[in-house]
Amino acid sequence: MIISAEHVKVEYGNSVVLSDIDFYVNKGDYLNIIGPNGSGKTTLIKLLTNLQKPSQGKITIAPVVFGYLPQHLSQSAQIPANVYEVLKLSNAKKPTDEAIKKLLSDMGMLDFIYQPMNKLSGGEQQRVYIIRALLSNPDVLILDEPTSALDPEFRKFFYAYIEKLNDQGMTIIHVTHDLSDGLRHGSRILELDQVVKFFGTFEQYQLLGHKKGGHHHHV
Amino acid sequence: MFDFLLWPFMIRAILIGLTLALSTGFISSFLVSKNQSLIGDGLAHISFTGIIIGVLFAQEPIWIAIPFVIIAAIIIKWLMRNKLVEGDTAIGLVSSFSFAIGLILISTSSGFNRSVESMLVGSIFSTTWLDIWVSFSVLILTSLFIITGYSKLFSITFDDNYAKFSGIKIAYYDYALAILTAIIIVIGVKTIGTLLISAFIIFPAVSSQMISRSFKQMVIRGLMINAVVSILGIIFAHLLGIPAGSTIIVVHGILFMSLFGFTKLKGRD
Repeated sequence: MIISAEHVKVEYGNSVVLSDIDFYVNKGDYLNIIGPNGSGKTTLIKLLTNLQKPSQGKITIAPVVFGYLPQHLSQSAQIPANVYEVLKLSNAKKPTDEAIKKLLSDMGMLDFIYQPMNKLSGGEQQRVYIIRALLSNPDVLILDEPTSALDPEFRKFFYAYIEKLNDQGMTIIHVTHDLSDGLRHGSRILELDQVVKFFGTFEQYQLLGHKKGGHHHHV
Repeated sequence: MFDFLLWPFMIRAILIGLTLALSTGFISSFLVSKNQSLIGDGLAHISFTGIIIGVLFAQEPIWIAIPFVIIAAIIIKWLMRNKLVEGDTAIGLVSSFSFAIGLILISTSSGFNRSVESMLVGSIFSTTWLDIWVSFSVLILTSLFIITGYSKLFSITFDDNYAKFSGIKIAYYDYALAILTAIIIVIGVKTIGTLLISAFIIFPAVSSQMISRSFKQMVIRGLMINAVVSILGIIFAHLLGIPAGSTIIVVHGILFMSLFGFTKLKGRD
């Protein structure tokens, strides 16, 4: 088991964001975390990435390498940092130039290597952050709303790429509010709405009468 | 015609200007990119009081002023980091409070033998060798800190959430940068003045940002801009008989406006 959460509760002041959360992630899993806005998905990701401690309960995380694609990019818009700098300097273990160029070329971004980040489109920036997450050679890849800024064509390519990584043994944790994405690519589903609404396989979820793409929430 | 460049007070002025320009140039890109430009201004107001206390109670004011401003910088950072008050508010609170104390001290101490004006606008031509040595040591310390911590500082500056996720000890770098800034500012207040020193932190980053296509370029060009502008400012000030601190800032301002106009014109093509 790579991650296990037992009776996890998170509260900010008086408001409870998550309560009584139990779930686990095994090596090689593809877990989709779904739920409406405000259901605590982002808070759960913060717990997994060590950006937040639970108020109660226990979360156990195996000593593996995490890759993380944040939902809200908190980059400073002013500074002229270029793509190469962001990729080279952001990871604790400095990736080789070869690895950087390989991934940039996989994602169709090689021509942008010396472009300042603040001159790129949202979708292009998103691709750079996907590469940043992959460059740490993660055992577990956390994707928080990865396709929010991507065009449909790259989106398709992106999921195929992630599925290939999953086939090779990488554990994927995929957060989405778009159920069509979640269900299409899911091996397991964790549905949140402050509490765990559902935790099980995609097939079990379908048996409960949930349909793929049944409902769309747009931010 | 340039004989004056060899006069001892001129050599001291250029040395202090250069060391100060390089120290502030080093931290400029990191502070401005994190929207912390005003920390320099706040710490300058605190230095004002620190130096007054130093003048009243010690032979060499900077030995009192430096620890005084470091403590204030730590308090500001602590207020900011614990979100007790928002960033700018923390700076405003601590700096106006201590500036007020400084003014009260001046008005109540009969033994105060310096003009307030000289403290507000600085006096680079009365720099002592001690000032230069302290400034030079701080420059060495600052450059070592920035060069050895560069990739971590870059990560924090660019995206602090991701830096935290990557396990970088943000608090350490945050406090260390604030403490270095505090020391640099104390020396700056003595020479450039309370009201103007923060411009040394703001201008290099905003000017170099416009002509840089990477963060590294921004840092290096910021250093070069600050060094060249400071030396030019000191020379002009001497030739025209006007205050050096102000002249340096005016040269910075002209450069900034020229670059701004230039990049806007270029962007139109």
